[in-house]
Amino acid sequence: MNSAVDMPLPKTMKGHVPGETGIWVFVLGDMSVFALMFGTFLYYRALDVDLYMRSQATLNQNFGAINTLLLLASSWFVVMGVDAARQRRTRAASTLFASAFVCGIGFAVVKFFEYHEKISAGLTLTTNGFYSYYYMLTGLHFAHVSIGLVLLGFMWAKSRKPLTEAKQIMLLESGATYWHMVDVLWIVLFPLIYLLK
Amino acid sequence: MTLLRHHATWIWLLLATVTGLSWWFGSDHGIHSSTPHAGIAIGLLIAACIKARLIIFHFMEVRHAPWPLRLVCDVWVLVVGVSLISLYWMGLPPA
Repeated sequence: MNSAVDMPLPKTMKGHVPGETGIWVFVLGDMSVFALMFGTFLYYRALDVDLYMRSQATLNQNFGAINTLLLLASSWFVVMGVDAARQRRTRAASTLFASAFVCGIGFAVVKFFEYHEKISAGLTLTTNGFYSYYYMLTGLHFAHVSIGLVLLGFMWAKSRKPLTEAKQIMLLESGATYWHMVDVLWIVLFPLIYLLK
Repeated sequence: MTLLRHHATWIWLLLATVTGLSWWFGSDHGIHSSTPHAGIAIGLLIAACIKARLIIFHFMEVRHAPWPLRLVCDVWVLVVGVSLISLYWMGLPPA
């Protein structure tokens, strides 16, 4: 019996979408919302460049750079972890996901010191427009990091046993897709808030 | 050693290098003034978009995805890049 199900897909539609389709709807939606917020930040910056540049000068760019490197390392560990899980290298997979989690925790620790430094200096959400956006954008991103850390913990726990079903790998891919999105958003946030002169 | 030979490792090295360069040019090491510096700023935004695309296509594996997803991701990078550069441009003092 030759049904529509057996028919090969057109060549151009071939390919592998990692994870559940639903995660991509969420990820692309979230990325679009962040893109709007990036644009809004620059729009208000353009209205008062002086204030934004004076405020930006009080930020510690080293914190931003270290956090970028931590998220990039974490993403790399996740790529290698998913790869290891696909090849059923259980021990390697769980070690790699645990390393990704540690880098994510490192990001949170750096963020804690950064916020502490700013709040101690009296720079808060209500200081001025720049700081409102600084706390809103980095805070919202940090909320995503926190959710990602829970997912990484879940991925680590799952990867400790051999994953034999395609659905299990798909779950790991979904978590990985989310975590990489967190990385992509930070990659744009870092120059936007910390570096743009 | 398989970890080091993986193509994602090379992508990661590239991303880390561009991050280091962006930090150098964008922080006080590269620029000693607090006046706008359009060349460097636009360079930083373009570098960020290239990095974002590298992560989306190589780490998120979109390069292996069907063309509609690849297209949507490329459109996102392009729209973000063009919008951010235009909005930055708006804030530059008149020449």
